[in-house]
Amino acid sequence: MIKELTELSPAEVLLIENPAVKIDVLARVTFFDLLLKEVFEILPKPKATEEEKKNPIIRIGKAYTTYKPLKHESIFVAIFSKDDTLQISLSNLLKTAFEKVKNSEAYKLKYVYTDERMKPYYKSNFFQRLLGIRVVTEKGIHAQNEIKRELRRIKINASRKTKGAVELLLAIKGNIILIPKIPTEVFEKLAKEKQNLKKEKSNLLLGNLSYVSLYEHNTIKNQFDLMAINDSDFTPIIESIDGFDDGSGDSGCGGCGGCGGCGGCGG
Amino acid sequence: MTEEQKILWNKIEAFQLDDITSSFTFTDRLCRENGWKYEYAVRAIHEYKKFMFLICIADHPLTPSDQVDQVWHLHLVYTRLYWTEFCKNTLGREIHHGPTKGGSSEKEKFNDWYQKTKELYVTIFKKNPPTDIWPSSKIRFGEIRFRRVNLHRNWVFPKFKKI
Repeated sequence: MIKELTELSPAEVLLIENPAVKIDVLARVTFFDLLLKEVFEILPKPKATEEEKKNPIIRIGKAYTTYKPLKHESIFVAIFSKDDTLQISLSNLLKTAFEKVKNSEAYKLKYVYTDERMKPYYKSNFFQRLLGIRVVTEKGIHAQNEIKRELRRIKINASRKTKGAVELLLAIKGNIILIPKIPTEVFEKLAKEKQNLKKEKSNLLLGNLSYVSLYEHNTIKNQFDLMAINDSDFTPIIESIDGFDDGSGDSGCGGCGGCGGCGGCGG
Repeated sequence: MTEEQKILWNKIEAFQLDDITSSFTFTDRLCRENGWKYEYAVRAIHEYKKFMFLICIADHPLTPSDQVDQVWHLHLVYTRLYWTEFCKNTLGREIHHGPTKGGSSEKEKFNDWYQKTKELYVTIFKKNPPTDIWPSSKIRFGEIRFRRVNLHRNWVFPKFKKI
């Protein structure tokens, strides 16, 4: 297993794999990764509507107080440093995160490339830095190919449920988010381990066990179907933020009508 | 907090002012009308909910900070959301908003209520209210000259600060 898949965050892996990756994709994997790490948790809501499933309420999770966020995660976590009792909808969380960012490239430059962890994969001289240009290093090109090859292999193994696929998925930790179809066996195995830990009354917190929460959220009746939150759900939210401009041209709503029949002011 | 109060607080906290099917939400409007950052607006809404909870449990009148009052004003504009979904269905009571009648006695009265609000806040929530949303009485009642400005026709510059 290559170390990039076990040591880097999903957003970092995606950026090495494809520097042109879109911000909604990075936002989605980072959000899920923070859920898996139990920095955030989703407030359970029985009988949630489809809209509510796609826009759940978030609060801090068990690991929040001890977790030191990476630079690109910090904008997601920042609001809770001012009030850790907040409960906030996913769309509002994204708006608070990305109102600090001008566009996708600025996010990558300011929050991802500048992290020490990305140094081996990208370089830039003084002038390139001024122009916001990053050049992939030889190691970066090598890692890019390796990540592509390895992810392809894991995806195939996971979909075919070949022997050792579960272990392989567990080994890549948060990068499990990059695998579109996670076999339920992964979660069953983790649920069993969690049960054993409870029996032993161990206080040991295993990072991997947080996947169980995702599984529970994903499958329990009337719970949030987390996997149903797609990149495309993040796009309109991020694009609607004042000051954020990826040059797509279309953003926000055009004015706001009254409430039809009961005297809205249209302001 | 008593058990009864906890139940009420959980209901208020879970109450959503944003209509998630709307492309221009309550929070969006609050930001636009006050020139606030999203993060600040989200926090101000949370403080507003705390204030409404305090009103429900207090045995004396309370006064919000101007920031919390702006959230309240906007909530009142969404009449059905405020009177039916919030007051009737969530709080189980009507909470009316009463502006000052003017004069020095009113000023003293609201100053006193504001102090009492912050004291009750500390007693109930076991922490100080954030000063950027609940400023001192001097700022709360000293900086009250607000007006709507048409930003299409006017520029707004901050005054120089004394060093």
